[in-house]
Amino acid sequence: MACASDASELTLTITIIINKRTMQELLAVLQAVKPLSAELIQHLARIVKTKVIAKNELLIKNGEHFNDAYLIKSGWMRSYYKDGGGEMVSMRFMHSGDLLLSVNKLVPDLKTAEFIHALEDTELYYISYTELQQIYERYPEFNYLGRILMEKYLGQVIHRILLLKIPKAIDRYNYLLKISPELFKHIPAKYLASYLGIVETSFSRLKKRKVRI
Amino acid sequence: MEALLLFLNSIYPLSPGLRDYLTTTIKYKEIPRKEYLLRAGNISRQVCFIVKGLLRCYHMRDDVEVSRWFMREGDVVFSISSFYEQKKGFENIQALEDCGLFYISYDELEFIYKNFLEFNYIGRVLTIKYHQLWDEQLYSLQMQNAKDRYLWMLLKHSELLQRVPAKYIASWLDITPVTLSRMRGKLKTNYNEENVILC
Repeated sequence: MACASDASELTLTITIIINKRTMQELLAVLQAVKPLSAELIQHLARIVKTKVIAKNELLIKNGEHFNDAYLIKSGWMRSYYKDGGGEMVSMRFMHSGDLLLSVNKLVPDLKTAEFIHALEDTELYYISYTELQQIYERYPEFNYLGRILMEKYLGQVIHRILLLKIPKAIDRYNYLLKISPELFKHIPAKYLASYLGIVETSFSRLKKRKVRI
Repeated sequence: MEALLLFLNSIYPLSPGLRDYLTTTIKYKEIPRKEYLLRAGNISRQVCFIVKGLLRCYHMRDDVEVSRWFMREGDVVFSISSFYEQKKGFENIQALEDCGLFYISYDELEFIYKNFLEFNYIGRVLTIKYHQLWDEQLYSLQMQNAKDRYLWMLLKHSELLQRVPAKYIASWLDITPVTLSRMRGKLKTNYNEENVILC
């Protein structure tokens, strides 16, 4: 069933033709938002593929080849940018049920590009960006789902901006702990530190202080 | 009203049924300068389209007002933190100029989304548009220093400088009013888009 998408990427990526069970798992995720018509389900079954990214490999490097729309099946990922000094700054963390669409495609004039890094072995569903647009044009019902998902991400971004504007590191830490406690279980400290705009040593200090309390 | 329908139709063609529904449902109101469209602690129950004027959204941190966004003619506004879940929010939305707004209620919007599926195309495209705006701001806040943030604002939102008091812009960019005014002075004399890119 498994076949390599490209010999040169053999060590990184294995593309799998989607089987019935995988399709049912995808439908369970999508249909939790809105039931889909039989026609659309058939169409999806024809075009959706899956791919596995091994832990610590990059799905996207420097914004390259980000021509697909992904939905995470399992595993945690993070996106990051490199700042002027080459430091990696975490922008967001994603896990099962989350969408990955190119930010660079949407915001072409950003000076640096986005990286997407698998923090665990990660399994992804994907279709091409063009296929996604065709679905939106041909199946108005899918826009309902797309809209709901985008609203969810809009809600997340505004909380993230609120967090970044909190002046004290300890208050940012506490705010994140309140709104996204699951991140503290799954994300290594060094990645959470840059997400909060603090250095790793300060992050560890804050964590210790919290544990003592 | 026709301008709003044209705007929506340019994103995705409106069916005659949807056009009729919108025409009979959309209402218009005016809000004088300094008045509030929404106060923190209330539920944001309407989605508004700005025909005239400019609004500012902010939240309170201790006793400081923190600017969240500025929206003007052609923008769609509501409190994201409150509207989607119809729960009490922490955002205030205030008119900085006399404003004219078309609006519909949350329930009317939900009715449209469920009964005119094509409107979800429009809703999705507009949601992506504002998501991009926020993403850019997020990038600017996290990756750029005060000067680059100011240059980003000049490139992307320079009109705000003429219409929004400096203290609100400073808070939006998360820089002090003193830093903002210093950079304004330094860059004012020879500003054009080309210079900004080279800076």
